[in-house]
Amino acid sequence: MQNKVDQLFTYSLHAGSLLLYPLLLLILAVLIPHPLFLLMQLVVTGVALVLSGGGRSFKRLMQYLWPLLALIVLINALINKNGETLLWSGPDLPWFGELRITWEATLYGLVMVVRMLDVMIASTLYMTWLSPDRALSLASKWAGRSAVTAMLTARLVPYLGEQAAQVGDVMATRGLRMGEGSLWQRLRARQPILNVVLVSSLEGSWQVAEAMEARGYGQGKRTAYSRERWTRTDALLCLTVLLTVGLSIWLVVTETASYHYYPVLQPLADGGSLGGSLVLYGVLLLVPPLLVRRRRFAHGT
Amino acid sequence: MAPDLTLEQFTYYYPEADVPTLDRLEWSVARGEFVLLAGPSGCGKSTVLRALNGLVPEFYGGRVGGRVLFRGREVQAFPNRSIAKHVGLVFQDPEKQLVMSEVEREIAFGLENLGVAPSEMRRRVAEVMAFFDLTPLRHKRTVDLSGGEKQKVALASVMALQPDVLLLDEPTSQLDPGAAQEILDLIKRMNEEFGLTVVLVEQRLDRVAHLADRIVAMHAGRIEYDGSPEGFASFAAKDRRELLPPVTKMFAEAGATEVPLTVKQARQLIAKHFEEKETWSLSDTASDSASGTASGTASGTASGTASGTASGAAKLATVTVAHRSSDEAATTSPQSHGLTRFFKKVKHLFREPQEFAPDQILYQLKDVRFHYKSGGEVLKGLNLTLPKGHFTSLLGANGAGKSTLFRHLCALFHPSSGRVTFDGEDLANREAADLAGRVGYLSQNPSDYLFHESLWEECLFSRQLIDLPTQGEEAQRDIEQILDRLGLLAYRDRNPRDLSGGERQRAALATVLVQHPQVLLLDEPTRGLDSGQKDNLGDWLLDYVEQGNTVVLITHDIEFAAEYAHRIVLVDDGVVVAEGTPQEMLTRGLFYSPQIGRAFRGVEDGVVTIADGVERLRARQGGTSR
Repeated sequence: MQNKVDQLFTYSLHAGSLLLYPLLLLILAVLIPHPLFLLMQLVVTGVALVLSGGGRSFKRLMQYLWPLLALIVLINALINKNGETLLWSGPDLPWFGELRITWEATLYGLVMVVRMLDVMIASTLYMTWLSPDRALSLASKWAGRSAVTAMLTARLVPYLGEQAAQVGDVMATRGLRMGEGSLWQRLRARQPILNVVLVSSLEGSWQVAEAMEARGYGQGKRTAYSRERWTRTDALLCLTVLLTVGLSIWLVVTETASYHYYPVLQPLADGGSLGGSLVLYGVLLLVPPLLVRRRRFAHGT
Repeated sequence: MAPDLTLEQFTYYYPEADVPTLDRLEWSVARGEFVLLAGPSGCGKSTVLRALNGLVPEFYGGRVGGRVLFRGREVQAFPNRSIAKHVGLVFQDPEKQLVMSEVEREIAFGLENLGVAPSEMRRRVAEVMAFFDLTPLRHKRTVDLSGGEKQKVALASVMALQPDVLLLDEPTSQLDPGAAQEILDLIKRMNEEFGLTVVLVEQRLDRVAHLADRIVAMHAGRIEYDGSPEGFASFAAKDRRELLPPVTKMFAEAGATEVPLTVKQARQLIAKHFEEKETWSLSDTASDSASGTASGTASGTASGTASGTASGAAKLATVTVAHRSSDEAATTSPQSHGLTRFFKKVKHLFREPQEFAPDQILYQLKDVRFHYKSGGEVLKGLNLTLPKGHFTSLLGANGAGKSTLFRHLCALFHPSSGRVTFDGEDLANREAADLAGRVGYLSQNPSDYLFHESLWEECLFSRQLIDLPTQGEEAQRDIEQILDRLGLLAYRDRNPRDLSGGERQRAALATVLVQHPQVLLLDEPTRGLDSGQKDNLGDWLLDYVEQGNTVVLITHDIEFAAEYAHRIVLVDDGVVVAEGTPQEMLTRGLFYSPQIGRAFRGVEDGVVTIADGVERLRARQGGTSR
């Protein structure tokens, strides 16, 4: 949710074309099962994210996400009994049966993590490139009021976060201990903070509503403000996205990017056209961030 | 030509209220006028603005009598809030009036609401951003802006609608002095260059009195004075001293016949009388008092007329003040309060040692450095000693490190390097909750303390947190005493969120005081308070210190610091750059000096408080009359 100075360069591109690329990444992360393609996407979009200045946001996100990713690998390895290459077998557990860890299930879990990282990078890239106002303004021509509501909500998130931190400090100086006891006790200790934030938000919403009405909100049909311009770079970016879509359809139809984990892992490269299509896939994915990057240099940032 | 705004016998009751907030107001504002609305908190100033913009009663509900007109047409007759095109309103809290998350879109928000064509919107947004110097910030998140920038965006977003009238409800009360001045300069420029009609509500008249063509004083929903700034000085000196800017109050309390309204006028008067050694005409007898003529009548009717001229600021206000009798003067609360305060401070100064003995030191900060994870170093080797039983005020620009320093005093933060001790104890391994009951902290926002159904429950919650008794006669008596001292006993069963701004702040203070802290840390406690509320708070804090407690506060309100603090500490770029008594600290600086100090600069040294000034003026009178 950062709107860094870095984001300024994206204003020379149309919000629609900036939205297209992260959307494509999300779809590809779900559709393409082959580990090499998923890894290629991870590397390329990781570079794109760093080039766009979103590395720090992603790092922050990972601080909270890594336990979940570790859990995915662990649970998959313990629960999933598919696969023939046995790494370790344990005792019979009630209701659970034999504890059995296979190479296939472990690798499947790891690829799931790569897939998840692809999704996270796509989302972070979207947030790095587009402010909520700009993204939602795309919809404001057709759904003006809903867009305003969504924008207000988007604004509320950092505001509530700041307010909760502020109230937490105040409560701590009054003697509230939030870091002691069991998880339940710690959560309960935070209840006063929640109460204050809730009551203050209700008060604040009244004031915001008043300020909106003072500026004529609710008078009738709204117009939509937009400074989006379509440029040649946008056309190039969209063309690249279209080519990537075309390649991906071909990969799915010809099963070039399909992959089977069970009962034993399919060889990663069966020869044929995989190597060439993988390189083409990587190149096509790299073009849009490079185009955005080029606008960044042209912008002088 | 019809006036821009007219109130005809306008009366308004908020929903479920028995007493009218506005009571039969008969008032108008001419085109291009700059009108200043003054009065204590709760007198109805903000409600007047909301009525002029149609929000009252449309948004608030309630009962209405009489009419509100814009250029002869009833405000309620403008369909679908289209009055917003003509009458713009800027609110007090910049945080609560921004809707969008990006500056440019925020400015366009009102235009979108009013259905302005996209090409026209682009032109207006570009124009307004250029005028307010917001173009470099156009794509910035509003949440990342400073308070001053936020208020500028709020102002710009209203001005993008190209209104004929601009209403401003204490637009600078949440800002530091520099940002406040920038906003006021912009408002004045729009009034002068574009002929924009301005109605400004402001508590700190010292900031704005010189800008206004006309001043209107309200009290309890009625207009008590409506006329020129010169006439206002006369009226308030006689009937409403709590409304007077400090320099005016000083001259009025010294009994001068000429009462200035601005620092410039005060300097001219002081220079004239001190350098040319002319005599002062002081009202030292009751007979003098009787011979004075009052231009602002006590009956509360409008004595001046809405001339609409801008002469008030330029002319020296030479106003004849109706002086009170000597007996009356002796018992007058503002004056006697000022002198009491002065003697308390003198007494305190005499007992202040040059070096503090170890047992007198409450806080000691040695070479404290601190940096946030996400940013640079904020405290850069700060050294500071805060003695017990003193009232210390921390001054400094925004971002100087004052709030970070405060967080170290509460143990909310710990130094990256260096040491903070409290009463000899190192705070390195202490949490904020460990200090509760010994250190009381009051943040800028009193609402952060209040969430219970009643003030009483709020106080009990505070005591529970540090295991103080909440049951039994003694606990009850203790809480009642504190509420009584703060003037809140009558509100003990009220929901604290229903209290007014000043009361809410005292309620938050009560929740801190029921824990019996020995030190109070107050962050900008005078923000949004009117003059009377500030005096009450200051006097209360001095009493608190008199009982052996300690007060440390952060403030941008130089007049308040000058008037009440025993010590001033100036923080800049993460270090303490100077500290001393107000007389030492606030008379040498250009910007960190109160109005009184500025008025006496180059004439008399060590004058910072109203009492200092009154004493000098009287001494001069005594000297020259001998």
